[in-house]
Amino acid sequence: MKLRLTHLFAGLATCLASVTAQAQEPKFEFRLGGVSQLSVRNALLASDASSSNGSTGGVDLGLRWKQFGFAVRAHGGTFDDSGPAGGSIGDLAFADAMLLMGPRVTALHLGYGLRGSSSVLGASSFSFARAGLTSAIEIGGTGISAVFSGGLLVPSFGETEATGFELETSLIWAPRRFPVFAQFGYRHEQFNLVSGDFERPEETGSVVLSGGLRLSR
Amino acid sequence: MLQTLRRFIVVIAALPLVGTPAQAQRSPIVDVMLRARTALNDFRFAEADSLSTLVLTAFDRQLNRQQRIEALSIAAAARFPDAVEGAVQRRESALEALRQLVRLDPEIRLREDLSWSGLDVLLDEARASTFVPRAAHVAQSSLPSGQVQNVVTGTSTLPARWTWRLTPDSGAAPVLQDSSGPALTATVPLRFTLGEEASSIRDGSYRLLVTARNVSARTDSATWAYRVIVSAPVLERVPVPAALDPATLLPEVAPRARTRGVVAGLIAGAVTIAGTSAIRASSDLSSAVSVDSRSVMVGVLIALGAGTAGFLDKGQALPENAAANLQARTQRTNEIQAAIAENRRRNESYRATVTVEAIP
Repeated sequence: MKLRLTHLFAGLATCLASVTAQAQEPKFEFRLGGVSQLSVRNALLASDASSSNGSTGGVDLGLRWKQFGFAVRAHGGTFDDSGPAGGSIGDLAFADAMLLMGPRVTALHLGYGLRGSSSVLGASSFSFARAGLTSAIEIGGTGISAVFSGGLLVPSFGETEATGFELETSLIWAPRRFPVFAQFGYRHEQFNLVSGDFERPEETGSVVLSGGLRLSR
Repeated sequence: MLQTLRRFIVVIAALPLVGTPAQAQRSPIVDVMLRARTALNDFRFAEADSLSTLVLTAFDRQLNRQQRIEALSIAAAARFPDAVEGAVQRRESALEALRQLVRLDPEIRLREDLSWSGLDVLLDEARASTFVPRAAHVAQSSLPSGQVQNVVTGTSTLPARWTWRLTPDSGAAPVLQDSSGPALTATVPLRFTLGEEASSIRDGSYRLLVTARNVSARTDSATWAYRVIVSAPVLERVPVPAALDPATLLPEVAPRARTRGVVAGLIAGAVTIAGTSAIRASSDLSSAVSVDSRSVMVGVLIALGAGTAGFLDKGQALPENAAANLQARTQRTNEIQAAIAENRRRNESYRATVTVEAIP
């Protein structure tokens, strides 16, 4: 599966390079908005698969200057667990921070993430490091950009080792005349969590909606 | 009494001409003139006429202007004396002498000791019937471009037809040929311009002929010849840069992004749909739980959105190119204006020198 993803990113980068030859990038960009995710979370625990729906909300902060950038996203929400717990309610919290290096059209991102959950089964959390590529392609002068982001998730600190992948695609509309932006997309992340003898694969797919203030020059 | 006074004045006036006996011997003109004036004073008009005529005929080439005027005045006075006893008035003969005087000086007045009212009337008649054209020239003038300089001014006692012709010494066709009148005055204008106007004189040497012709007597005319030297060196102008070639400007609007929109939309849609299926946690989980089907819908919407945006795109503005173009245009405009201003300054300070010399 890693090989297929590698091929996917390589092909993606080639296509992006071919269609972004004349991209004009702002030198400075600041973005602050609210983010809402409508998520479906699947997990396998002790051979029992569970699927839960939930929604999260939070803030999305981005700052970019020339070839460098910084992004933070933090949000949390509630999931109804339809798995073994039988419809119990669980809380989830997400936090991601990323450094961006390179032009907007193809930038390397390195970051750190935290995930935490609590339910009737107890509370748990894990962290991970992340590395990948982020690309934003402006579609002419419409103010609309197609954004691709994919990365590897590798274990970080803590007892639980989290490995996996993430993939996010979206359209961002940022009109030039108004300092606002709106985003619509889809985010998919997959983890394999190992803690001692305990192993739990899980995946989360989210429809992403966000919007807010955007300043650029 | 009047005659006595006149005689006294004649003697006083003749003193400079008489000088010492030795000087009188060296100047027969003065001697004859003195005798003519004495004869006139003694009412020996025939003798005075003969002596003055002798001076005018025998010493024609030696006479200076003042002596000629003096001789003609005595002749006129002797031929048309005041009505005294025994005096014979020869009106036409006197009129001829007076006409010669007028030709020498159109404004001439007879000396009081020679004149009387009848002779003054005759002088006025001679003045009115004598064609005396004159021409005066400006020896040197400095002409800015576009300015006209009257290099020769002609005056005449009778209406005249004035013509002039400026011919290059190289033998080329006349560059100026014009006429005016009938009029008592006329001017010959020379115009100099730095441009290529046909009416403009150029650097070089010319011959100017000015002719005044009495309109009432076609055969009565006078011609003056001048050498005209125009010194008009070539003015070194600053080359004016050409207007900026639009082909050298940068595009200010990027090409429409139809292809980019379609490609980006297809990629984004495909990645959304395929990536979700490809990135599954494990075979156990993927077999137990189906993939989130909303990814397909979102992928399609992203693809449609990007593609539509590409089709609606009118081209991305390229402000850096626009700024660079503006700077290039401004710089070129400034260069052009500076060159034009410098050339204008040089034009305004330029002077052509026109030298006019009378040819005897």
